[in-house]
Amino acid sequence: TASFAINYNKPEYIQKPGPVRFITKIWHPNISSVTGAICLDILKDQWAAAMTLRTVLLSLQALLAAAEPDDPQDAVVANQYKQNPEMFKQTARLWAHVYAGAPVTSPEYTKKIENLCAMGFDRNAVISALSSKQWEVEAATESLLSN
Amino acid sequence: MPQVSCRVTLGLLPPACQHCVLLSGTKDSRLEFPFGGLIVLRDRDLGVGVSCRRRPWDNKPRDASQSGAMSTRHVTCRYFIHGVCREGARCLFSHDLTASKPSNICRFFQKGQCAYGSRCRYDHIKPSGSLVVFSTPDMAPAGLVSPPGPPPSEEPIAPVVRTTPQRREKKSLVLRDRNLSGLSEEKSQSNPSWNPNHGNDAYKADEEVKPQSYLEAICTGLEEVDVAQCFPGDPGQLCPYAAAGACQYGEECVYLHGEVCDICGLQVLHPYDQDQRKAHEKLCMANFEHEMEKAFAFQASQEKVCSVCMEVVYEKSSASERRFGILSNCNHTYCLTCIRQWRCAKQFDNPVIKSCPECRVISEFVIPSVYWVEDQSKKNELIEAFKQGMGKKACKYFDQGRGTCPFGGKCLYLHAYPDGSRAEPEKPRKQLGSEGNIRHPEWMVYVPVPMAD
Repeated sequence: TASFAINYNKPEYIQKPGPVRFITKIWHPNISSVTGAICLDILKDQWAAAMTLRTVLLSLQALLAAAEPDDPQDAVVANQYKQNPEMFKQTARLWAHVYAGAPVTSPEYTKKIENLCAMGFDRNAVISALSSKQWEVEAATESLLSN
Repeated sequence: MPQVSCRVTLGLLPPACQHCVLLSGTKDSRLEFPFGGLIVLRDRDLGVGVSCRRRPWDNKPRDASQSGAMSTRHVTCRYFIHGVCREGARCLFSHDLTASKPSNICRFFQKGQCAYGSRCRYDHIKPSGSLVVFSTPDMAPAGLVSPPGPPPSEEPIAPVVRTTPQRREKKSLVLRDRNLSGLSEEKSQSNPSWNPNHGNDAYKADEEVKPQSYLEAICTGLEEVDVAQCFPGDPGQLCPYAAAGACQYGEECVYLHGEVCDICGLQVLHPYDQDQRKAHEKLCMANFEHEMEKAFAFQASQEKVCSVCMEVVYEKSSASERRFGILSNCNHTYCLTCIRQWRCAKQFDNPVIKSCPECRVISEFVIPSVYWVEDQSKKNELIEAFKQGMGKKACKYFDQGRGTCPFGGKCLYLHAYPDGSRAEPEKPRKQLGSEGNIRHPEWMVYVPVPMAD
């Protein structure tokens, strides 16, 4: 089990939803790994006046269970999801472990993170870089240095 | 053929009407109608329209000799009072308001109640003053003009001394009325205990008067004759007070007290008149069913919650918000305010806002309703009534043919040309999206129909 924090402002009007975004970092094709912005139709053009906080949360739960890589918010994640589903799964698990308190994770990825962190990089930046660069340490280091 | 109505207003002279010729030169303006008649417009009439009403084919002056023998000169012409007598000088009735007896008293008002109230075109004069004759107790048995008045006092009422010719005339009116309606005679015979004035001199004198001719009857008591003629062979009039709940005379009342209706619980069933009974029962039953339906509808609506604001619709703070906005194609409940607000949303495509916020079924229109309607047949009735109501209003887009309506034949509003002919139904143009100029029509979001009770 993992728990995610979500920022949801009460909708001011029945005509549009309140702004929603993830505060907890998450690796998901439809959620920005940087900002937490969510790509979900009902939060945009398919909003309906009868929707409530409950229906919004249910929709988010469904979105987490079944990603929509063809309508991505985060292109890097979506790409990985399509090209290397197994890697995506491991990465998502790692993110859930690190940020949302999920139990198990891949020891291989953890080791790579520790190595880069030992070089003095910020942990979050290391995780992001490794995840984006298909867990290739050299490419990730390069991207970390260039920032 | 329509009736031609010429309207001449003093401020708008000379008159536009070809029938009317204005004679000037006197202090008062005089308006003469060539086919007969003269109306004097006084200062007080300034600005008040005077109508000359006649049918165009009715050019031949009325032959006065037809009814020349009749003398109704001292009875005020009731058309003249309203400025619409087309007989003019040839009129058999008097056009002089000061010297004639008004005959335009509302008899319903005199009986107690006039459904037209202040809008009644007849005078609402309670029997009093110069019309005292109507309220003298010995008139009451006629049961025609005066409502059941106060109980007749036991002491004899002094006869009114009438000396002027006009007074005498009115007195004869009293007598006339008594004898005219055979009804009254029957009544006073059948209720001998009723008339306390039996020993009164005036009353005795009355009895000696011979029955008068029809003409005399007309001359004196027009409205009384009318009333008598209105109820030919009336087996007895029901007491309106008893019918409304309580009659202070009880058993003593000269009017018939009806039997109690099982449904409404009022004394309204005529003892002999089967037609009246049937008619009343039918009406009462229909009323009762209507009330029941309303009660059921209220019950069904009572706990309905708007899916948008999550409030019980009947418990919304302002009474005007306690209405449903019923979608034509699905059965999800919304209050009118919320669904209208949703359908007015600007940032979505038409299909989104036209769809039900819960099931996303698209409904073309919202029907305002005080009651919640779910049953399909009732809903169809509601939709039909709604469409008919809308169909009477002119479409703003069509603008009597000057504009084009993007909704064509699908538009609920009236597409008619100035001459009243309907436009051929045409296919609706493709509606533009939220960025386009044309949005959903007004009736899809806002429907200004009066609240149905």
